[in-house]
Amino acid sequence: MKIDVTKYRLENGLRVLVHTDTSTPMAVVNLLYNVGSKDENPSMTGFAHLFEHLMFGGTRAVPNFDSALQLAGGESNAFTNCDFTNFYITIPVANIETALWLESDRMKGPDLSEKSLRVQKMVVAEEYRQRYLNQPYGDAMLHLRPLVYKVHPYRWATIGSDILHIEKASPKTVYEFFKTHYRPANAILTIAGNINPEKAFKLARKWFNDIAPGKSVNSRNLPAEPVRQAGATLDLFRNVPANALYRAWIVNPRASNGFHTFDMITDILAGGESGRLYASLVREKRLFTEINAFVTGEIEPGMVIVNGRLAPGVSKETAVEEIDREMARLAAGQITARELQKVRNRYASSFHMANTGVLQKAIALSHHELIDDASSINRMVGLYNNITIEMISDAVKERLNPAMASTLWYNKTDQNDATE
Amino acid sequence: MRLNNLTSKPRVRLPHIPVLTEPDVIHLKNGIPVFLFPSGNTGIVRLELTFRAGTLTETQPLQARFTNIMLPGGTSAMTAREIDEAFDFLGSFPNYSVDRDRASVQLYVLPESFNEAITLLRMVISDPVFPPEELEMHRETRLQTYLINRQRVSFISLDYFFELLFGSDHPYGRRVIPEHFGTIGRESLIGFHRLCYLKGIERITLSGNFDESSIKIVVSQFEEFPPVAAQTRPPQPFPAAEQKNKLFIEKQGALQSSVRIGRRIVGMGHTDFTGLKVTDTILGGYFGSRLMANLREDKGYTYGIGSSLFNLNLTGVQMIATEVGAGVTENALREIYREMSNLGAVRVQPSELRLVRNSMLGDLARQFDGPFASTDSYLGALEAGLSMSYFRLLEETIKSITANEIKRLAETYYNENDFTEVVAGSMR
Repeated sequence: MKIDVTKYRLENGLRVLVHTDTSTPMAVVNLLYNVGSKDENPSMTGFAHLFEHLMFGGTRAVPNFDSALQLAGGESNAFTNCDFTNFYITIPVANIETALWLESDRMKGPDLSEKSLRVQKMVVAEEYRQRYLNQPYGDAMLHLRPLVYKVHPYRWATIGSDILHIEKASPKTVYEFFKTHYRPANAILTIAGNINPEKAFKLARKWFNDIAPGKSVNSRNLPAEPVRQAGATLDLFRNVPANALYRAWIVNPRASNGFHTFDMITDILAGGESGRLYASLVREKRLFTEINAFVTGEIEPGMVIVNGRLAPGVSKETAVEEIDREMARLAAGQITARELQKVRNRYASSFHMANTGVLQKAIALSHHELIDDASSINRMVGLYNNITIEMISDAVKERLNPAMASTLWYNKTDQNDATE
Repeated sequence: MRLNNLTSKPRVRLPHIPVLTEPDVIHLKNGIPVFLFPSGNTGIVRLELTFRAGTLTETQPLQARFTNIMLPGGTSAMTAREIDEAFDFLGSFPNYSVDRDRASVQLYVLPESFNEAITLLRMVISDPVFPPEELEMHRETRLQTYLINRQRVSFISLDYFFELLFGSDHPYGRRVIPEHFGTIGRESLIGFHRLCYLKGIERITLSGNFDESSIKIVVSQFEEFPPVAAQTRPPQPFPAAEQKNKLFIEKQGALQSSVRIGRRIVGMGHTDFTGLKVTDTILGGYFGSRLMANLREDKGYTYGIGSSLFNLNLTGVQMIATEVGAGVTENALREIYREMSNLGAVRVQPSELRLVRNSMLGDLARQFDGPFASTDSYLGALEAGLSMSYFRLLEETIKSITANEIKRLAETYYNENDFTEVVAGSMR
């Protein structure tokens, strides 16, 4: 399966990607802005995500973004991460111009009213509580990031390091943020659906070409995280039913080939029910009740994280030893050809599954374009097929050794039904 | 062509709804229907079997869930670990789930591995041996997950909502407690499997990238199963409406309160149902809904609020769900009831009605976008004893319902006294 993509660039710098899929009545307009929480001031974290909310607050020309979109049968949402902010619309293809009209309109500037700012600060505060603070283990990433990163802006989570930071956002700072980051040259527009590339590009030009390029800003100058030989440990004490650990290492940046080796390593460890960690530490030895491993996958050096909940009575030392033992087996190259083929097969079919819908394809193409090049999406399966046992062993030895791991612990306190 | 101002707003066309015709169906010699949703535009094929094996048919708490969990726990020829490894090696993704009315086994797989994966899946369904050590592991791990869930206000409120709605003795309303994990035993699962899986295949769906040979494989693997057993006992009747229809469960220190407000309501086959779908959407069924506009976009009480109308075998259910800041809990409750009663008091304006019509038509098109979405939508109707005609009626209702009719439905069905309210969290 090849995902065709045609690329253009408008004079104002906006990149346009088009993917034709004739099998669906729905079209997708995806607009990715190259701004994430890594671009925030450390004393005002959570700002990129707050701004994502404000982009739905309407403009002078279109006071109600959602109504205008829903009237055309469209549906929209957005997400923000450390690296970028992504807005997407699905809409019947006959009404695709409505989506382009709305996105081009808000690229010229949302109407940043006092009320919108005040209400969205409250909404984001509730989101913070709902997803991170009012959930057992919900604040893990809020604590793990500053444990692993000391200088790089990945040290705070996208929602922000402090719920109070976004309180400080004034209409002026909000407007400055918009002017700096929400420019055509800082964005990738992807159009996907039953539309041919020439027509899609003509429409993109019609709606976006007259948007001023804006002042170009200096390229990012983010502080690199120095490689440390010794990781850190943090203990949290919480009223949770089980002890839990998060063990993390910094690994290669996304655009490097090395990244995919780490992705594959986490698949050997925890991909599917037959992953090593589950098979050995949950099913066979009954030391954990749940265990997982994954790459965070950011553009700059991200993390490999192993997280698990301990079975009753299992000591923390045992838990760490067992995880490290599994890493040591990988470092020693103890991987069978069948096991390697298994994770390749899983990658190939999950690639097909993930790219079945036109929305998923549009978002993936935009993301690949941001990393290096949209068409690199078609090289992924081959790339994973070329990862060897030796590459895995080298990567583990170089980056995933026990001394370099940082560990966050949830220690369970008294059992009663009250939270702290 | 540079007319980028308000006047250049593109003209809106009504979403094109795919022709909603019945899918092809074949019947195995045991009577089990296989519904076909072919599409060459995906590299994946999906097989799904639904069983009459939900909590409604269980005789003991957790019986339905643990039988479902334990299907891939080992067969007479393979261990759990070997089964997991075999599915993973084939690049296939099995998924086992249970709800109140039925259980489901689903498999996503590449066409080239279809034969092998389906053969494996059939063994898992027909020949599980429920090894004691595997059961022991799941009892321990699932208990821990349950204890974690029980700390979430959203879990607590939903749990008690169903208890109040259906009573603690009815399978729809019975809450699981930690002791249940200790009492669920192997014999109980074996008995449930024999009755509800071996004689419980209600239907099969095949979707995505398959061909004639895939159909032959499905036929040969599943035609030997016995037909669905006649219901052994009639479904247990609900108690009359509970006396107490408001419940507050305090969770000290909670930063948010979780709110569930709802009622038993007419089912999917009732003539009012599609109209209620529209009414429910106006209230809380899309981003621009009244509850979202009021509680989120105007007052900032919540990250999100929604209302949904769904069907169980024995009744329809209407449910409003949200998590709100602890300090504004009472205000939020008041606003929810206000929005409900407004719908019965004041006719919807034409502009809002047009918005909700178009939004729902777009949503209907999304529900039939691609083979997997189409299958899921169609199954929803089938399980209520309906067919594609339900969606045609829904489309017709969306296009033609009047403001008067919406007002009548809200007056009839949205009386605060008929609603059950559960709040878990803190009022301070």
